[in-house]
Amino acid sequence: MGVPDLIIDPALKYWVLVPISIALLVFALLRHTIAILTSPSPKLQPLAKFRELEGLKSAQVFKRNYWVLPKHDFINRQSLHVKRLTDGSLLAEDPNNEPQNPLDSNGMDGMMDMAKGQFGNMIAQTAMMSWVNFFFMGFVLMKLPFPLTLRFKQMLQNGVATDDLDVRWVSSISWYFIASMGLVSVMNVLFNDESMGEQLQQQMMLQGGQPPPMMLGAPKQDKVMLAEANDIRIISYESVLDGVEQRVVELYS
Amino acid sequence: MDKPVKYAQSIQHNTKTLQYVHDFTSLIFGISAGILQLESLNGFLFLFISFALVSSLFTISHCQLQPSRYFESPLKSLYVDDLARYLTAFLMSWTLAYALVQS
Repeated sequence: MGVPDLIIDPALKYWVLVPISIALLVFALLRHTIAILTSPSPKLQPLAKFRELEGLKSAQVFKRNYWVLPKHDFINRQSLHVKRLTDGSLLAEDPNNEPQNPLDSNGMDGMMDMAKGQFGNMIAQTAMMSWVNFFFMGFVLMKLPFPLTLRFKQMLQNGVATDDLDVRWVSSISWYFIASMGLVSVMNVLFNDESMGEQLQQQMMLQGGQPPPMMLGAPKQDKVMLAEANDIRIISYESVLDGVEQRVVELYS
Repeated sequence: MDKPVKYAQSIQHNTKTLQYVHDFTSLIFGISAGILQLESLNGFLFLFISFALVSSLFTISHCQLQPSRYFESPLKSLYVDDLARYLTAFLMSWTLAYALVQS
């Protein structure tokens, strides 16, 4: 082995490594609890809108599964669905009205919530990092078990003014980075709370990913309903029991 | 009859179980790598071998050698999906144990 190029005071472990880890864990727990406490309660849909959606859904289900119905049931339902979809009794709002701006009420709320979440997240990250930087900067904390390229030197040896030191010797901020990457798994193992791991992962995705698609410019409901009614009108009836004797005999012959 | 019907929520539950096993074992194997003072390439070899081992054992114990019954795409969900997560958790516990043992 030979003589190591640096000898690190063992007290650093107890006064830097362990405190940072515990603080990270506690902070993640705190953030999770705050997120639960401040999460908005789900909004109820107005009755008319709900009727519209469910009516459309039942028509779609009918379109997919009509073959289990007997002939007369099929005809009844076909005419019922066509009538309901075409005469506009299911529509939540008058189709002649101007479509309301999706940015003003519902969409805006969702965006505000997301922005708040992002913002809080960013503040938490910044606070944590500046805490680590404030208390634990300017010394070498540990040796990484794997070599890194020189490009990481600037980031991982932040505040250590030695030019020729191997990149494997790193300061406390890099332990913070590594620990925050593996935190999701630790949380999953320690608390086995499904939502917790998921949430953290979502946050990570949000940080690096693209914004989720917004529902802008959805087609108008009356057009959708007319198309659906057309589809239902042209179904040619076919029963699941047609020629069943033949098939059973074939199956067991 | 030919193609088994799969229920999305059950598959999700299976994936969760697999993920828990991977999380747990990644931390344990990372700590063992740190205690063994493995460095650079040896450590990463240990990582991949342990990952493959855990996934294979999971196939035997939980899936009874028929992973296609429990996952939509068994090879992908067993050997690919959790690798990044396994890697980060392994790196963390490896680094920690390595630093603690060394000084």
